[in-house]
Amino acid sequence: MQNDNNLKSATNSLSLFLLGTLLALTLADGAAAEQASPDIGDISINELMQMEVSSASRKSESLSDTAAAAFIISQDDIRRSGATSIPEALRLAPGIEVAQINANSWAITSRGFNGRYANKLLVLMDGRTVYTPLFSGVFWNLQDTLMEDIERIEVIRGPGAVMWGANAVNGVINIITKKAKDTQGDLFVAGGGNQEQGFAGYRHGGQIGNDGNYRVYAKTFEREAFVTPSGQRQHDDWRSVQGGFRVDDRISSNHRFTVQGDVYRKKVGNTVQPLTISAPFNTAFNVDDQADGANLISRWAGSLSDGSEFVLQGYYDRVDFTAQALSDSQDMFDIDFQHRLHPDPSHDLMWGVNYRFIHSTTVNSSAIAFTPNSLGYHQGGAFVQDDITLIDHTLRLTLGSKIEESHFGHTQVQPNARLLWTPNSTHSVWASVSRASRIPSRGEAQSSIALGTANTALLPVPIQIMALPNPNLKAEKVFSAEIGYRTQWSERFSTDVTAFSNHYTDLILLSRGDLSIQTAPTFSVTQPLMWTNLTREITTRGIEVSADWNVLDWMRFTGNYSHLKIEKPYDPNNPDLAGLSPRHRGMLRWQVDVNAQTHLDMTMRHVGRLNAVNQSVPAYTTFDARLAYEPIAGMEWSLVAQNIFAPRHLEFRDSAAVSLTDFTTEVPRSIYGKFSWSF
Amino acid sequence: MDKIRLGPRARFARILTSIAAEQGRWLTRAILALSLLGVCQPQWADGLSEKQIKAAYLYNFAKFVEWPADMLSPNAEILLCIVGNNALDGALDGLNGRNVGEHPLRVEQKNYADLSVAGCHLLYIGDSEQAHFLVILTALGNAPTLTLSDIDDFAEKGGGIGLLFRDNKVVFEVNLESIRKAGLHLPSQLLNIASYVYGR
Repeated sequence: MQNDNNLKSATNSLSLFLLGTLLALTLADGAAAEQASPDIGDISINELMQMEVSSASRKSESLSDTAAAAFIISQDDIRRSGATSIPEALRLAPGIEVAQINANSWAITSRGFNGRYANKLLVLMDGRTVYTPLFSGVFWNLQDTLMEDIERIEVIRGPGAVMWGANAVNGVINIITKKAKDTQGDLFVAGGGNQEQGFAGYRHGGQIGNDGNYRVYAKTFEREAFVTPSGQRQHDDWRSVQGGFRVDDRISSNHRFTVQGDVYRKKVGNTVQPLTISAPFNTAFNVDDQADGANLISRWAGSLSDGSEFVLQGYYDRVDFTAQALSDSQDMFDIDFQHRLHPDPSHDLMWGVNYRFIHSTTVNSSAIAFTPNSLGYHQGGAFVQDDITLIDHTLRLTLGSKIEESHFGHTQVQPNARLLWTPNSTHSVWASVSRASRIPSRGEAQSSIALGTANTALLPVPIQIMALPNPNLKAEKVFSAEIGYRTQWSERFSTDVTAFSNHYTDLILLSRGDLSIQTAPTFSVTQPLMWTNLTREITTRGIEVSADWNVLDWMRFTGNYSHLKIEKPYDPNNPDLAGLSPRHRGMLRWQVDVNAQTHLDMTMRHVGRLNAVNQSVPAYTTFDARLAYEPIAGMEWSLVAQNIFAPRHLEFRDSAAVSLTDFTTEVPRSIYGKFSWSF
Repeated sequence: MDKIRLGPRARFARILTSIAAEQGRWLTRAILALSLLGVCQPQWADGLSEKQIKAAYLYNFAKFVEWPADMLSPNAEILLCIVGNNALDGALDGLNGRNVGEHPLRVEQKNYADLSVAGCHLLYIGDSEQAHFLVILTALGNAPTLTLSDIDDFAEKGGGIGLLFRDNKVVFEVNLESIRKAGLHLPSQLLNIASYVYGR
């Protein structure tokens, strides 16, 4: 009954939303023609500096010359979406699946295989990888910065191995923060609401010497726990304190230097079960897990007398987890060099080398045990890529390859060829074939994980389920073919369509081993699950469409739709594989500049159902709205309501463990207010 | 009488209001009210596109910059060269034949590959040349040419004036070191309003 009502109100609101929109459009049609542009010769520089760019012709981040399924989330997009975390901001990109598991965890991927440890999407923040080699994937609740300091997020779907290296199998996300010179002065943000219980951030930027700039920032937040399907609060709250700095120094036109770093402490509520082999079994209790981290990046970018450019970057990153299931300290040291040169006008040549050292020490628990528990290892690689202009401004061919050597898996060769055809300035067609690898994680090669216990009528004791390591794993490989078409139909309307076909071999999955029965010291039965390379090839195909329509100077629609199909015969060992990503996803945004001070944003998302055995999630539609008012330049009050359609909805089940008590939490309806002042 | 004179917007607003009155739920009311706001808001945008604003900037800079006497004699033509595919969507072509003070402005499209950009008073590098604008700047050396572009980092990496899109406005950065090396002069009031000046 409750659901019925929600559905009804959702459909109601939806139809009115569309009706209102359509009517607004018909009326607005004539309005655009009313204004006449002033002659550009008559405007002074002072006037030009104050002039708002009519939004219809806002510079669409120049993607028309990219031979890849690329999308840029701008600072403006992030601000107007009301996103308070990086995972939420990623919902803006077409083709990226973002499903929230609980108040502090997300399952994020591109082109299928979603999960808490989705491992085929590489994520970098200012050139520093945040992809963990311990379990392959990203701990999204550790990745943060002041949202206002993000300049843009580059989202590339499809393999990006040549430029970014291994694990960029299904996509790459590059989070790029502003330069220190663009964050001068002070910024204060604060707010709160029912889920966002409270947050605050402060940033100060200033000048050093002649051409140097710096900024320092600090932020903190606390997020309320989610609720169970029966409406009870879970223990999954999320708290964070983080600070950081960035210094950009410009030595001359030819040499620039950047040093930046962050330090943070995150605490997340967690519900765990002691995985004992004697009664009582599977009793859940609440704990607080903690992560402390710090990183320091230094980057030297320069140009040489022949007009070629180089970047030398080194960073150090440390994370300490203190958790019931596993405590781990990880140090990562990375050094990277890239050189871009132009031997003649039709070649744009890049090459680079990279070296990384990773050391991690774990404190084993009854749930997860690493053998050895401490390991330091190296990985390195080199790439070369040539961008060849075949016909000036019309046809371009890009050839490249990366060779990588790692402690886990073997040497990986990851080649790529792309062709871009731009017959004119409004149409572009591209095609690409590439091969990329996902290196086995240390977890898959060296850890035993107790996944839980299962009761059977046949045995007096429950069966223990264990995931066992496999030191001989090969890397996962994908062969991917993509084709894309981008069109600027008019100054106000553009579309972007991409189709892909991915063929995966050696996918690393758990497969069932033989039951093992122990009689001493106590009688116990274990069902081992072993990480193995799948011998069969798995194919995914999909299509991603996005459109941007600037109906009027003050009104804009953006929308996208993704279709994904996983083709694979039923496999009793891995029945879940095909159902972890929805077949259909879509989003529609409506942005209205009510007047020069007031902005309204509405976003509707639809996600199709998940139908895996341990991951059955019904389809859902959500609606977010944000109203912002800027009384004076630099000061903004905003009110954000999220997931308005239903009191709560399920996005992804926490299926980290087998046959344990269901910890599934649902995303509640939420509202928060925010004040932002830059001075 | 008033009713007859209602514009289409106002009429539409009335329809929306009546729909809102029939609907009970707060959400529908809120959405309708917000659509109303959207419909009734006045026109306030200045109506110039980003590219037109950039072209207007360039025209202003042409008035302010001082070339060495041997580069530009009185009443002589100022040559604006453009490198790049469809730079500013052709907004610069509209400047062809206009007068900059006593000098007529002539616009000429150049090709990156031949680099025959010497003799240009102004050189606009379109964002299609992002990959190799440094090669162009290197080839230009210290020639008395004011270089402009909307490529990010242009001024920072040695270009003359960079035009940047920031907070829905177009602002400009100046590399004073490059301007001086080229033997050009920009008035200080221009430098004072630049969003950033490198090599001061």
